Order: sequence, then C-alpha cells, then structure tokens
Amino acid sequence: MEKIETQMGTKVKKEARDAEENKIRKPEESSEYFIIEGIDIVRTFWMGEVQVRALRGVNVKIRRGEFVAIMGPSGSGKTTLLNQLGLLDTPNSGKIIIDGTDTFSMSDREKGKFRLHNLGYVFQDYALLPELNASENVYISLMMQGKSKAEYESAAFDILTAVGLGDRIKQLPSKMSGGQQQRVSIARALAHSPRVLFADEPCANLDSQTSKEVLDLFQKFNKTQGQTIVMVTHEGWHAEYADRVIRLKDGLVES
Amino acid sequence: MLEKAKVSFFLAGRSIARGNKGITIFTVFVLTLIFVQLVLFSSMLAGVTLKFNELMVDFQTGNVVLEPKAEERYIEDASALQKKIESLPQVVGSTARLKTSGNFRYKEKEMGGTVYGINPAEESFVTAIEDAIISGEFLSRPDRGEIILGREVSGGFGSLMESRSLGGVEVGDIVELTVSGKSREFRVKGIYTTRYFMADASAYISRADMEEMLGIENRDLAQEIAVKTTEGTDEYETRMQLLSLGVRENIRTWHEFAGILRLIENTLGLVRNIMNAIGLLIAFVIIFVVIYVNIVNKKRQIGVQKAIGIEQNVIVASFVLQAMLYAGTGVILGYCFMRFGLAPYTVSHPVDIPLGSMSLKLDDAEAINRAVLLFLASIIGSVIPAYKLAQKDLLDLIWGK
Repeated sequence: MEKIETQMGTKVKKEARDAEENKIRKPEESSEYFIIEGIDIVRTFWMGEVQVRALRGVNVKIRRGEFVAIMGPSGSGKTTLLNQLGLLDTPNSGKIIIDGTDTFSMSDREKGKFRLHNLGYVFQDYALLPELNASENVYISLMMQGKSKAEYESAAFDILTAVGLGDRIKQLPSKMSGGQQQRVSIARALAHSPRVLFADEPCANLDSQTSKEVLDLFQKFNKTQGQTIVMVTHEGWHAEYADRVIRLKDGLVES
Repeated sequence: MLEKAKVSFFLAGRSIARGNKGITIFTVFVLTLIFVQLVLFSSMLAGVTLKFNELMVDFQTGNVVLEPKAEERYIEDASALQKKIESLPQVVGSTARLKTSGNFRYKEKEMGGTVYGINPAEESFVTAIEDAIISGEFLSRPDRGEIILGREVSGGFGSLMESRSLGGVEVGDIVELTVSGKSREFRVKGIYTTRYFMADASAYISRADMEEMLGIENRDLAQEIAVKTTEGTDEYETRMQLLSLGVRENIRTWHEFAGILRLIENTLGLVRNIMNAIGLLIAFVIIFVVIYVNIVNKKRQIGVQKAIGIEQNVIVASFVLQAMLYAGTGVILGYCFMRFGLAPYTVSHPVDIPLGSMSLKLDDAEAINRAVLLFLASIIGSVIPAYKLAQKDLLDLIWGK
C-alpha cells in the first residue's frame, strides 16, 4: 500500500510538473494538454434495414488527469462514444487522438496492443474471467505485456490491496459480491497504469452504498494518482464525483 | 513470443482446471473411445494376420520349404538332403513330401484337392496335423491304404464349404482317390481341421502309397521338403545357411506362400483405412462441436480478453491447447486401456473366430500413427471454430451477439 502511495505521489508530482510546464509553454488548447481529442466522430449502425446515427459528429477534448462523466438520455450515444474513445469500436469518420497518437489508421492488432499498454476498462457487469481468481484476473494483461512472474504477482497484490481486496486475491469471481467483483475489475483496469481509464456505467448493477465505494475508489485514484477517467453514467449523483460532465443528446454534445 | 505462449497455456490450463468438469470428462471419454476404435481394428487385423501366419507355418509349410530345381519335377536323394538340412542346429525336423492334386470320390460326390504323401513320423516333427485330428487317428508308419481327410474334403464338422465337400464322410468309410489317372480305394483313418480352410482342403496318405500311385517306388524322390526351425529363428538366415551347405534346390520361406493371406490382409487393410478415416472424421466433428459450444458460451469472455489487449492468436491458441490436451489424455487413456486391458485380456481369453482363437495384437507404431492423426484432427477441429469466433467484431463478442 505504501509502495503504491509512493508511486502515486511520484506520478502526481510528475503529472503536476508536466501540467505546469504545459501551462507555461503552451496554451490550454495545445494538443499535448489534452490526453484525448475526439474530432467530428460519426458512428452509424444498421439495425436491419434501418440506419441508426448514434454519433453525428461529436467533438470532445479531455484533459490529462481529468475525471469526466458522460451523461445523456437512453440512446443518446453515451456508450457508443465511450467505445470510440476507448478504441473498442471504429468510427465511420472522424479522428481520435490519444496522448498524441492518431488512432484512426491503426489496424485491429495495433489497437489491441495500444489498449493493452495504455488503456483500462471497467464494464457495467464487471466482465471478469470466471475461471481466473481475483489476482489472475488482474495480472493477465501484465502477463501479456511480458512482465515477470514476480512483477505481475506483486503488482496484482498491490493494486488489489489498494482497492481493499488484499485478503481475497485467490478468490474466484463466483465467490464474490457484485461490489467486490467491480473492485477487482477496477484493479484489473488500473494494474498496468493506463493513460486513461474508461468505465461504462460501473455502478449500474450495484446498490447505492457499494456504488459510493466504487466511485470513492475512482476519485481516490483520480486525485492521488492523477488518473484520467472517462465514465458513462445516467445517475446525477455519480456525475458529482467528476470534474466535468459531457452531455449528449441525439448523438451530439449538448454541453 | 514466449510470453504469448505462456498466456495461452495459462488460459488453457485454468479453463480445464476450473471450467466445466462434465464437458472435460465427456470430451476426454469420447476421444478415448475414438482412439480405441482407431487402434482396435488394426489390432484385430494384426491378430488375424498373426493367426493366419501361425496356421500356415504350423499346418502347411513349416518355416522353410525346399522345392525341386528349376525345370525338374522331383527332389532327388531326398533322404540325403534331409540329413544335410537337419545338420543345421536350428532345424527341429524336416519332412519330405510327395504332393499332387487328386480327385476324391465318395458315393455320388466328387471333389478335387491336394494330396500329400508323407512319412507320418517325419511330418509330426514339422506340422501339427496330428494334433488337429478331430475324428479317428493320424497315420502311422506301417499304414497302407489309409487316408486322412481335411474337413473341407470330408464335409461335416463345421466345414466352411460343405456343398463342395464329399458331404459327410466318416472314419471307416471308403473313398476313391484318383491321382495321375490311377484310381485306388482308401479307408478313412482320420479327419482333421486346422480351422484354416486352405489346409483343410487337403488329404494325407503314406508316402509309400503315393509312390506307388505315381509309379516312383523306392526312388527316394520328393516334391517338397518342409523344414521346421526353432522358434525365433530368422527364416532368411536359414535359407542362407542352406545355400552355403550347397543345397541347390529352390528354397522358399513360408512368407512366400502367404500370397492369398497378403491379399486378405490388404483387403482388410483397406477396410481398416476406411474405418480410420470415418473415425477421424467423427473425432474432428466431435472436437469441433465441443470446442464450438465451449467458445459460444465464452463469447463474452473472448470479447473481454480482446478488449483488455489479449491477442487473437493467443486466445485461439488457448482453445487449441485445450483440445490438444483433451486429445492427449484420450490417447493416453485409450492406449493404456488397449495395452494393459483389452489386449492382455484377449490373450488370456482369446476371441473365437472362424480361423480359431484370436488375440488382439497392439502395434506401437500403428498406435503412434493413430495418435498423431487424432492430434491433427483435434488441432483442425479446434482452430476453425476458435479462429472464426475470435475474429468477430469486438463489440459483438462483448455484447454476446
């Protein structure tokens, strides 16, 4: 835990220094100031014979270290936007630049590699692999990165301890409550220190108390580590944890 | 590369260890059965071939047969030649035979067959015809005018070609034998069966009677000399030694007489190959279905794995490894069942077939060959569905579409 907090402290200082330098050297609109830039994103789907225009030219910019909530009514395109920004889907047109990398021309394989090293995901229904225990669920992506056994096991232990599950590292998902599973999911998303954490309605299946615990965790990592978080939610009080809210309506940004 | 393989092994291992035990047991059980089916027919065929060969050596040819030199009808000085042959340490005995085709007649029925003129004492050293007597007795040295018939000649006793036979001759009956235009009546002294239809379609009379019928009395001639060697002796080695002793006769090992057996073996081999192909196809379909069902149930998991950056090849490899592990376990269990269960059981409890008692003979080379084929089927059967599904759109997988 101490180790994590030391790392967090170092990272926060570095982020703060970088941010400070950016402020001095570049205007706020500088591309280096924003970790994500979505430019004129269009995404349409075909549902049978009907064409659904889920995103109709969305422009978003998210700052480094920012905690952003995406809100909007059902069908407004919240999850679709998150999937585009998180490289889980490819827009029909538009650009997505993550930390200076234009992802539009990336192949599926390159996107996979980019996700492995740079992005983290928390899904609504936790999406843990049922045959892996908490620790294994967390370190599988570190294994894939080629980390040594000692490295990935200790990283998994540290992050699970940080989310309050240090005593349940060998537990299978089926033996855990929804809140615990979501915390494992958060630990998995953060284990490899991603540049951006994407969360798609992470509290949708949780009660208020557990939701609060999860959101507190998000806030903790955002404040202490400077972790950039993009979260889709439809609950107003969830959005209160965020620094900023992006509101969508009919596939366009409202505010 | 190594880390990718590590992740594939890790995912496959966890999936087997913590996945649905019922599916694992069922798949391994089915693959075990398929492997057993693949090797069972080969083992039966090997067992039948072995039995054929034993019957041939034991009741007809011995290990090595000497025949007259080219363009000669008889082996001359047969007794002297036998002495020379028997000087070899591995030779258990030899029998000089006169062999010709004859016509048998009993009441209204007639049939043709091979007739041997033998010295009964010599014959007993080389073949086991004496032990194959099922009615009456075998010939003895002073016997004249007596004949031993195979059951395919006598008829009855469960003969396979009853309608072609003399239709139920019994010991004590008189049959007429015609050889080289000379006819003579013989009293049936015994009836034998080796359960090998080719050997059972013959008859034995004393060499003296045969010499008389062929008009070659007291000339020490033979048409073939069958030689029995000690068990485990290489027949080709014996032939070389006989040649080095100056034997000029045509020397053939029993293998060269097994032409029809080769034909039967090849026919059965073809059937075996067809059955193997069907077995492999079944294996392929079962593996395909099991892996496909497994993958369809894990569609969302595959999506999540892809989302967090696990490469598609790694995911596919994890399913292929699972299939290979299933196949490997099936092969090992199937092999153990055959090697330590079924094959030894048929040795202690032989299976009765028309040829006699047959035991399974498991050939390791054949078993390895079948194991490799089953492995290939499992790889192909798992790669196709795993690759097809892993290639699907990431969001479709996550949403379980």
